[in-house]
Amino acid sequence: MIVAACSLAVLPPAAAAPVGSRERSGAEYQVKAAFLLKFLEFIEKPGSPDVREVCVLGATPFGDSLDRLAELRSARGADTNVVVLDSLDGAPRCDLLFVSRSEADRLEPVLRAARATGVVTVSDIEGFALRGGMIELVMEGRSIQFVINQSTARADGVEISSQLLALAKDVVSAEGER
Amino acid sequence: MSLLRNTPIARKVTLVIMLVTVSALVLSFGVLFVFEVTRLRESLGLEVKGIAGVVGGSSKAALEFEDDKAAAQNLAVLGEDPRVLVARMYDADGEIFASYSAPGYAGPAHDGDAGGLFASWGRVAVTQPIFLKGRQIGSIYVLAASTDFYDRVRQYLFVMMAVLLASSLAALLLSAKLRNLIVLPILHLAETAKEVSRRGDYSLRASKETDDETGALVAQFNEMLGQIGRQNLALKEREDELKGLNEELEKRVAERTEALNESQEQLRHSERLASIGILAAGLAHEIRNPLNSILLATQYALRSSEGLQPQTREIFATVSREAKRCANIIKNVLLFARSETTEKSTRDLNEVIRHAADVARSYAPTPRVKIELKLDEKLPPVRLNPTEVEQVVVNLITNASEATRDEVTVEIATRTAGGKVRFTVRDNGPGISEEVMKHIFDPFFSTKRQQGNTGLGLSLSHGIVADHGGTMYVQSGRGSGTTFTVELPAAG
Repeated sequence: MIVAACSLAVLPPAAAAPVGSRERSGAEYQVKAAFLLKFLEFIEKPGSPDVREVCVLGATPFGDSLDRLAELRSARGADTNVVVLDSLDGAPRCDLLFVSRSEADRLEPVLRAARATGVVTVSDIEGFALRGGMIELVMEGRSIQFVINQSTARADGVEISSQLLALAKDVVSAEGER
Repeated sequence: MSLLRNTPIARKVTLVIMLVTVSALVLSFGVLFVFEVTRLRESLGLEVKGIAGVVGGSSKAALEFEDDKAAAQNLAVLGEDPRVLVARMYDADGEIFASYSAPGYAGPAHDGDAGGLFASWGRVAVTQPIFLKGRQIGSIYVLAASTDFYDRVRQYLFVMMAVLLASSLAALLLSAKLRNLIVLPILHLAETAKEVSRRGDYSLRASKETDDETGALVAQFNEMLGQIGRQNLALKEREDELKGLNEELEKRVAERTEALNESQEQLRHSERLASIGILAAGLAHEIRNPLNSILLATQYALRSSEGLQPQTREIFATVSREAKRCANIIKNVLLFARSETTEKSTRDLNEVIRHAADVARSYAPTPRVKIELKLDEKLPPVRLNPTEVEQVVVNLITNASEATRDEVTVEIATRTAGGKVRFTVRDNGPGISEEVMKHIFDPFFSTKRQQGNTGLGLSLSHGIVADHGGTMYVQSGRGSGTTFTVELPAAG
């Protein structure tokens, strides 16, 4: 069962400009970095500590934008750490795990390992939500939207705010199903 | 207020009651109205605040993810509430993020203070901040109007007017009753005052029917009437008294005037008499010497009368007798007319009187005249000339004895009277007429001229008493005898 709601995040003007893919990619990931941190506000995870850990698995596409935003967030009183991981070995403590596109090939084992830790998984790998990820960031024209796999989240004990659900482009309720 | 000053009290009472009633009601209704309107607006404000809170709270993600469409959709939900006119969402920087206007609403988007709950006439404007985890990410503003606000106000005003009208009517009826209670006693009092003034009757009283201030006023008024009545009575009594005194005074003035006229008449009379006296004295003095010669000649003729015819002898005797009488008259005239005072010494008046009585008895040895003495032996001495006073007593006794041909009792009494020594000579004769009394002390006045009375005896006596510093007066009435009273100053 799918609950559809149109959600839109307008890219900053720099990101919106039709420039080279490299520059575009930089602006795009600035927005995506902001999205990652905002997701933290609408997701409730049992036993969430005061300090939020945002982990990036694989080659980070954010440059330093994620770190800057995390610092800003920390400065507002919500302590946030950004950790870049090569693998999920050793069961690192993460509140949110961004799976870089570099990990597209080994997505299934990564997701399995992630689900074992109950982390909120986010990625812009195409079909991420349908493949068992929780939130998939998708480009819709010049804006970034997201698709939420609510059943995965619930199965992993993650409560996603109804407002976030309302903003989602798509909400899929089961793996591979809408 | 100055207009009300001359308004009748009854109308004043009605006006006061109406004013108090209407003022109290208007004030009460005013307070209730303000309270009700405030309550209505507060109630509306709270409801709108709640709605704004819910919509704002539901739009956190939209704000956070800058999804203005989602925010606009959320605001559009407010369109379900017909009271919402305008709704706006602002981002953290205060920029409009999304907005909604009710269809057909063309008024201002903001009405009044957007800082919090605000209510203009029948409207409320609410601004609610939107927080996400303690951080303000924007705000929502909602302007709403109460759809039934005016209906409720109209209803309230209608009820208020109805109650006001009913209360005013009740107050009017009540004031009519109260008016009777307050005004009637005052009117009655005024009526009594008018009646008192018209009739001048201070015995009238106003009836006191209550024990309140009006009753006290009536009591005071009655008391005042009583006082005026009493004062009037006293005044009238004084007026009568004054009138009596005035009449008495007028009478006295008339009497005094009469007495004065009499005195003046007497003075003129005395002056005339004095002139006559001087003339008479001169005349007597001139006549005395030739008369003495006549007397001496007749006496000589009588002494050598052997050769005389009895008829001639009788003629000489008559001449001699009449000449003696003339000499006596002349002596009395000269005595009366004398101007110098005689020598006086301190004597016992009783003794002088006793001697005089003896002399009188020897003059009139007939048993027809009875002389009685009632002398006060404790009489103080008097400074007097004994010969003169004796003559006065003899004159008075003679006067009494000559008053009648019948038997007569002459009573002579002495006594002390307030520093003076008084002696009275009273007879039980026929008395003296009023007409005679007026001239009794006049010289040459006599009712017994034919009996050889010169009419000088009493006037001579009066002169002697006056020379002694005393007074002499007579009391008499027809058939009740005559009393002569002489008062002389006691010596010392």
